[in-house]
Amino acid sequence: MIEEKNLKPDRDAFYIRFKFFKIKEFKYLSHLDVLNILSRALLRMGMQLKFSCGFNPKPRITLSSPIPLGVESYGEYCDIELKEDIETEKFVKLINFNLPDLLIVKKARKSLIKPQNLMSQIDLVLYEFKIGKGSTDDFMMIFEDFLQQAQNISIKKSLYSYNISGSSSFKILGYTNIVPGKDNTIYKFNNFLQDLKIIMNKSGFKLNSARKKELYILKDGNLLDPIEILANGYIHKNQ
Amino acid sequence: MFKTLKTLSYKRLENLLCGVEKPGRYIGHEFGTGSKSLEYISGNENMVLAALAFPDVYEVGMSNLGIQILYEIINKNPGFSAERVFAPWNDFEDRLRSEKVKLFSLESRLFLDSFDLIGFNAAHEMLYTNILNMLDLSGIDIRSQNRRSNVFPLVCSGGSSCVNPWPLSKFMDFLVIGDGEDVIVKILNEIKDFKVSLKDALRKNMGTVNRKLLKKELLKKISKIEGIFVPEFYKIIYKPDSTVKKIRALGNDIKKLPVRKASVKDLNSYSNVITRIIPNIRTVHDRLNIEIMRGCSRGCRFCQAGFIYRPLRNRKVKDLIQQSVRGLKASGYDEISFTSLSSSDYRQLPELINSVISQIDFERISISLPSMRLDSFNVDIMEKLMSGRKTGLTFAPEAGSQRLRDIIKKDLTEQNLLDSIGIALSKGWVKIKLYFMVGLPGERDEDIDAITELLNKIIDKARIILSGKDFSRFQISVSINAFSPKPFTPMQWACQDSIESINKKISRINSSIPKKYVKLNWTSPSKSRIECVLSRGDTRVSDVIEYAFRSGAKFDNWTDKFNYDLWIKSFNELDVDHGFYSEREYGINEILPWDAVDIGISKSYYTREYGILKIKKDQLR
Repeated sequence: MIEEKNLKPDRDAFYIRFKFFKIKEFKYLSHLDVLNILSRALLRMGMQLKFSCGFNPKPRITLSSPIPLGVESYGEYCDIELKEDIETEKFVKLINFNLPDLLIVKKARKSLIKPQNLMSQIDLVLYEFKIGKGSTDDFMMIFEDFLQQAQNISIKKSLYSYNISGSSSFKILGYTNIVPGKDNTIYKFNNFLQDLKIIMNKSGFKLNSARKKELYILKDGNLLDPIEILANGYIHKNQ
Repeated sequence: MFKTLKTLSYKRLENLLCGVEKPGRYIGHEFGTGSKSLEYISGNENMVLAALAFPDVYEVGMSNLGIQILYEIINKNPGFSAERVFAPWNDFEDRLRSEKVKLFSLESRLFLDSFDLIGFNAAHEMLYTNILNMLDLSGIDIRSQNRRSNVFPLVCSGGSSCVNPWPLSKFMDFLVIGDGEDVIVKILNEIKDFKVSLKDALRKNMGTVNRKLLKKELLKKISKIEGIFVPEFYKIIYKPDSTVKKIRALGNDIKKLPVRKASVKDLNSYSNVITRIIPNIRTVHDRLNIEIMRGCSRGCRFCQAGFIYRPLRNRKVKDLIQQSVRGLKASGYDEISFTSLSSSDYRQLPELINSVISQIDFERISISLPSMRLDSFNVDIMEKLMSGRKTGLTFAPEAGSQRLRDIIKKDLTEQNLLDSIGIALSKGWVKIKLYFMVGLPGERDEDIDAITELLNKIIDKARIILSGKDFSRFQISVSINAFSPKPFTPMQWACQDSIESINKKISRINSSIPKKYVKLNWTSPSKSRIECVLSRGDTRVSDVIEYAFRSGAKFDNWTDKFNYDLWIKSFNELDVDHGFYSEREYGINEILPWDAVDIGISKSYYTREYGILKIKKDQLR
């Protein structure tokens, strides 16, 4: 582990990683739309940003992996590069002031050096599904049957863990994880969502909502979110 | 009378949007929206609610400057609230109809029939069927005469095609002719006063009120505002030959015709919109538009915009610089466009551009001038603007021969054009775009061939100026439109060329152009035919529009949606001759339907100009 104070800041570049929600109607906006909205908000803030090269320079912004249209997210992350320093609290306030109301920045953290690419850094994604009325035990049985019978072997590899929580009529199935495997045979979330809807329909369950909850990086056996990994001084996964 | 506000729930929206293409069109919540909250509206009983409706999809409507201007003016006022609504694309319309959900606004998802006023932007004629479709989707009777027992919502339209108010006359409670800035506030104030006095009347328990009379009273008050035309107050009497005998006011206390258009005297009193709505999805013009002038002084005889937006009004350069810099900052846009009908006529253009460039991050932000005439004086400006990104330069000679350009009064000689293109080529541009019209009065084969000759001259010039490598990239794209005579132009009387003749002319061009360098595209002449009929139409055309809409016409401006046969069937079914409005030279002494409007230019000017055109046409025969 490298202590932050031991790192020499890159004087003309400042890095901020922030977590944001993309909720309600905004679940209908694409990855590219969100990228545009964020860059315009950053420009409206009047921050000194770093831009890409070329004829049409764009702010240097990296987003975490896209989610399917129609799925809310409470775990989106974004890395930006600035030419000036800013306190994270002030940054969060300012950017929220300049964002439409359904994109909400929840927290931010500065990094002295450029963090590893968000898309490649993520090991696990937590999804949450709200299920309509029905017995949780029944649902778990059906789901486990589905896993047993799954033709697609990659599904087992891609699912890190799952559980049901809550005793009300809403049940949560968690830890549907996508592991970027070396052989690249991951079970895409899109396919999982489709299959889940099919098995639920067959057995009379209703999927009320699906949302992305959190992103994780596996480090020394612990699950850290992309901001915690900065807080712990891990800038790069393999340090 | 004071209905409760009904909105579409989020849950139902979710169901509706499932599987719909580009759902981002229907969700609202953009940065910069400024309508009042539902709580605020419910707490203010005299609040006037206006829906600003653009009868095309979100991406097109959000690129319209007028919507943004009116939105800002209305929402700045604590007593009024404006929300937006656009035409749903076919897939979403199907969903709305099958689920029996009425059309709703973007901001609060208020159903359209909850508004006090619905204002359509009829920016051009090919939007008419979409206007009817949007009313129908809102559960509102499209005929104004069937809405008389309900005062609200009042349905109106404005925009450049309304200068001839008759084609929409059977559907609109009133039309706004001219600039909307001053007028909109006056209309909303009338509605507010009306609501207050009606409530007083009801409170005093004056018994039952005759709603038809009430609506008429309100319309009478609104009609007193400049630029307002209330169709039900007037009637066209036709002659047996279908031309207009007279246009009569139905009553002594009715505003006298012609209705004078509304015109903002001092444009500087209205700033360009700074805190505009920033769309969440990509739109057609995803950029900051800064209007530098309104109106045009050139007087090209075919150009409707050139006349109806007169007089020419300049904005102060100091204001524009400030508005541009502030607007870019407030929007986060990386493109700014200086709009007007002829931007090179803005005298302080170099000052404006140099000053704006010095105050913005010009490495990142691009500036565009959509209606620039290129000559030696402003080529430096253009070069500066294009720095590195030489996309393409557009010229509009409109006609191939000098003779025809003289006839239409297009102030451009072949030498001007070749010189300008020569300069552009020597500065590094290799892509040129040219606009032409065919079917102009007095046009002969020589004039059509002159287009190809002109293109050959440009290619010869490019061969000399450009290096071999650049010349291999050289390309001209040519856009051809069929001429469509428009009201309030000196060519308003002219006969439109037949579709067969225009098609022949286009093939003549297509077979003679050097295809290696020229890419040709054209608008279908059948679309221009309908456009012409709708723009010169009267109350009978109003019926045809309804018939076409009921038969399924919509998105007529979308090439793949426009259905000519359906339109022709509509004319035939109603026994209305479309040739009467298109393939006919109107008589110079004929009463024109749009004589009901005073656009601010005397009829004698038009007759004189058309007279000159005819002399020029005949002289050279």
